[in-house]
Amino acid sequence: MSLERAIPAMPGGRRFGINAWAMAGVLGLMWAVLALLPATRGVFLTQGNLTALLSQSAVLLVVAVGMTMVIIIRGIDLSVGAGVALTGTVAALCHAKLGLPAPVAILAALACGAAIGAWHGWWVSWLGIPAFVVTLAGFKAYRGGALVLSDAQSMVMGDDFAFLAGTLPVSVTWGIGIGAVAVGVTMTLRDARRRKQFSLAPTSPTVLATQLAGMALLAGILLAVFGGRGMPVLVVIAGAVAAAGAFLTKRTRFGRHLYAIGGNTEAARLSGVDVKRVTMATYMILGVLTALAGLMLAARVNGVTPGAQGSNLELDAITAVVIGGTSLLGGRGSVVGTVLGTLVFATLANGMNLLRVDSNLQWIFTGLILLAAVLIDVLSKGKRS
Amino acid sequence: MIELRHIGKVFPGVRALHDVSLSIGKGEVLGLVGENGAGKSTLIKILGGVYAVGSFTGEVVVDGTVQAFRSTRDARSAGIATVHQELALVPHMTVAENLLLGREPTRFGMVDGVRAHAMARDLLAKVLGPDHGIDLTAPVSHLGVGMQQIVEIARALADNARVVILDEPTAALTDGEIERLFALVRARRAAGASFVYISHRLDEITALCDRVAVMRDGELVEVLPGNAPTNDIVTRMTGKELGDVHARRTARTSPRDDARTPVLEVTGLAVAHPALPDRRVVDGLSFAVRAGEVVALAGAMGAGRTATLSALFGAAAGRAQGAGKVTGRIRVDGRDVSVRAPKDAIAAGIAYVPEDRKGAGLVLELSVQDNLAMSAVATKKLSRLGIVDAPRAEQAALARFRDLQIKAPGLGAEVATLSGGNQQKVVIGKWLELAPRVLLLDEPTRGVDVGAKVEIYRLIEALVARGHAVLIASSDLPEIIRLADKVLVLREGQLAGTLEGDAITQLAIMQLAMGGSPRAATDMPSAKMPAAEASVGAADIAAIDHLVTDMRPPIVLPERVSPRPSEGVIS
Repeated sequence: MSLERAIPAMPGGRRFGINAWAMAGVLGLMWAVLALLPATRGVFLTQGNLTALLSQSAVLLVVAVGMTMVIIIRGIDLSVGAGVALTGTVAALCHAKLGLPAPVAILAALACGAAIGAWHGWWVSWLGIPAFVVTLAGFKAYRGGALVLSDAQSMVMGDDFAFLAGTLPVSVTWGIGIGAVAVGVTMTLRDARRRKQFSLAPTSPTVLATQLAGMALLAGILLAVFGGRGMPVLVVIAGAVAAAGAFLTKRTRFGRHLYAIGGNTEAARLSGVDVKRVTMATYMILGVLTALAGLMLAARVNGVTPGAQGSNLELDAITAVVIGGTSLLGGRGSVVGTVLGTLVFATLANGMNLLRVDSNLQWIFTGLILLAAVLIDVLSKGKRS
Repeated sequence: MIELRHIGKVFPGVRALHDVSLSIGKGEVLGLVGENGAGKSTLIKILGGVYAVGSFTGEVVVDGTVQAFRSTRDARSAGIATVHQELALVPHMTVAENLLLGREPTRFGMVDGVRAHAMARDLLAKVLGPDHGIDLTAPVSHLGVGMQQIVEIARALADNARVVILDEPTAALTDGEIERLFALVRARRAAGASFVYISHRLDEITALCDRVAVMRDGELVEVLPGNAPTNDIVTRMTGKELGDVHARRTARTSPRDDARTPVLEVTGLAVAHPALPDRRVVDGLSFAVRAGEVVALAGAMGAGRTATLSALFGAAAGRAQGAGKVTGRIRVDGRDVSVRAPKDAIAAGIAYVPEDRKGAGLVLELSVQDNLAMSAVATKKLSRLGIVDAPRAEQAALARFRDLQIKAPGLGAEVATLSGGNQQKVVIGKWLELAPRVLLLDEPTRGVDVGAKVEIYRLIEALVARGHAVLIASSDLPEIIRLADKVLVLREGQLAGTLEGDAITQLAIMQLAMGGSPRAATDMPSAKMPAAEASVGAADIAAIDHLVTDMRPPIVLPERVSPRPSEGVIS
């Protein structure tokens, strides 16, 4: 047994070890400052403000989760904002013009997103065209497509989509919150048990305790905010997407392949990874998530403005992903980091609004924060080597 | 002239250097040897100013003055220049521009092109002599690797460097280029310049160096005279008598039975040249590898060793630069296999350890565990319904980690932080979970230190004993002699001859590889047949030296070498 102890277990994925905790700390600090600063007049921690903050983050997070995977394989997608407009337009047209029921319209929009992703994946992996160029073309084309399809007219989504922007009943909210914690705790404990079963170095009690406490804290915060009035459907969707994304990247073969491809495509290929198919699948996932975000946004603002809907969303998503510690050079990053990055990004915007920072100045601050995040990343990497 | 006094350096958890004191005299070539991880690179990084003063203990003294380098720039201005394996030249700029980079002569604020050219010309003539034959107006990328290295050394010397640190300078050079490099070093030594020469190739060290400093585990073991026997150096490097590194595997564990179905059977394998479809880099090759057998592919650079292996694995097919069409019949255990991509080969039980360990074998930023698990996970082992069984994967990786005695802080360590030999063990180890029928190994011990080399040899022998079939491509003749049951010598893509048993000698391989045709003699100057190491008798060495000298073309090479597209320049 002494040998087992001599070899430290792989610390639960070093690629999002310390950084994620540090970022959670930064986020906590931001929240504390915003809560205590007299200039925010005690508004920050109110249910209303936090609900708005999280609902606004939801659309961005859904896209950012997909963007994380694309960036891990050293790709990029600049067409996301335009894709949101196009898929929203498709849903609105199917419903309003063709009179199809909402579920069918939703499926049509998701299929459209999948097709966009497949198109990107095909160009990138089969034709070897840089993703930057392929999706830059999409950035132009999909916006144009949305404008053509809609005759450049704004459309209203109608009541059938309102459930997306609605709120879950209190009982369901508590059910989801408790259920999520139960699943998380079960998985964590099951892992610890199976490590023992395979006579691997046991998870250290501190790590275990921190993980469990983290989950409880997260659930606690969410229930404190939403327990009284119910959780917005947008937040539920975003949370589910983030959980699925974290699971996919961290626990599945597909996830391992993402990191291998991003780290060294040739080595991945020679290890038997089907690089083309994985690349294709990654872009398709982002495409579907783009469509989902398109539907969420359309429901939230109750309409589609094809010329403006989702503009800058791709850049916001990339910003959130990078703030979250994912390397644009590929091979490193995590969905958990992206969740935190998105929250930092959204908190920043929310906080600046509360502090009545001039909206033009906000752009400048956002840019500086992005640079600071990358600087921290670079500095922490330098320390390691 | 330059002195290192009581140098110590600690990385988190590792003592990289401990109390190293060393001096470098004027007009001296000091060899620096040691296994990977012995502390050589840390030491030269301190000397070269990469590690700033304060991050280590001890003193760097130049001409009696204690130095405090904060950057490589400081070291440069004190006369210490480092030429790394990865060259620091700008590929698209010309030789002249590179030579004067950072101190271009200007007139009215603009670069004075004419004067710059004249300056570069004079510098190069001063360092290399008037007949250097380098085109100052050629982009550096048009020069061969060896010539680029010479340009970089010239730049360092032109910058009034008094000590030039050469870090593994010959790793990518042909014999002709090595000669030229040696001539340059000797000439500049005579003119009073000093060199620190780091190499794994002990024959080079003994040929060139005045003294040899041997390092082990972060300490300076001993400084030997340059003409010390290589065995003495090896003994001090490893700290143990290795016996004979290249002792031939004598006890064949499994009796060979030629009547059995071969594990791997290749018939009429042909690989077209990637750029010229009419030419073939592998041309009608047929052979078989049986269970418990090591077959080696030998031959000069460009003879088709690497092309054969990558064709068998389907590795060339998807490459961006494209590869030639592969034809021929591949059978594993008597069944025809259609190999269009690596995954087909893997499914058929073929595993491949590529020559380029860092570029194609490993994902450097991932952990040892993730690298070890990669092939297994890619082939749906260790996972269920697409979900990786993490504890099982870790257990499997842990078993490999111990079996292979990989030296790393733990399974979670980034594979980039491991030494070359341990990285190579990871590359081999990632296949073992799949229990492949055939292992294709391309230069399995390149850039690996002596100790790890022996471990890898033992590993290969153990795999063979368990009934795997092994096909090795190697330019290291002692390695082939140690490992191979059968040697296929290739020449220009064709089988030049087969050697078995006691017929496998360096001389026999060389003769077959070089062939008798005049074309072979002129067209393959780069046949990189490493001069014999410790185990080869003196008579052998003499014979080989003679042969190599005969084959080697005059050293005035026109250095516009276009890299052979069929195999990497290094091959």
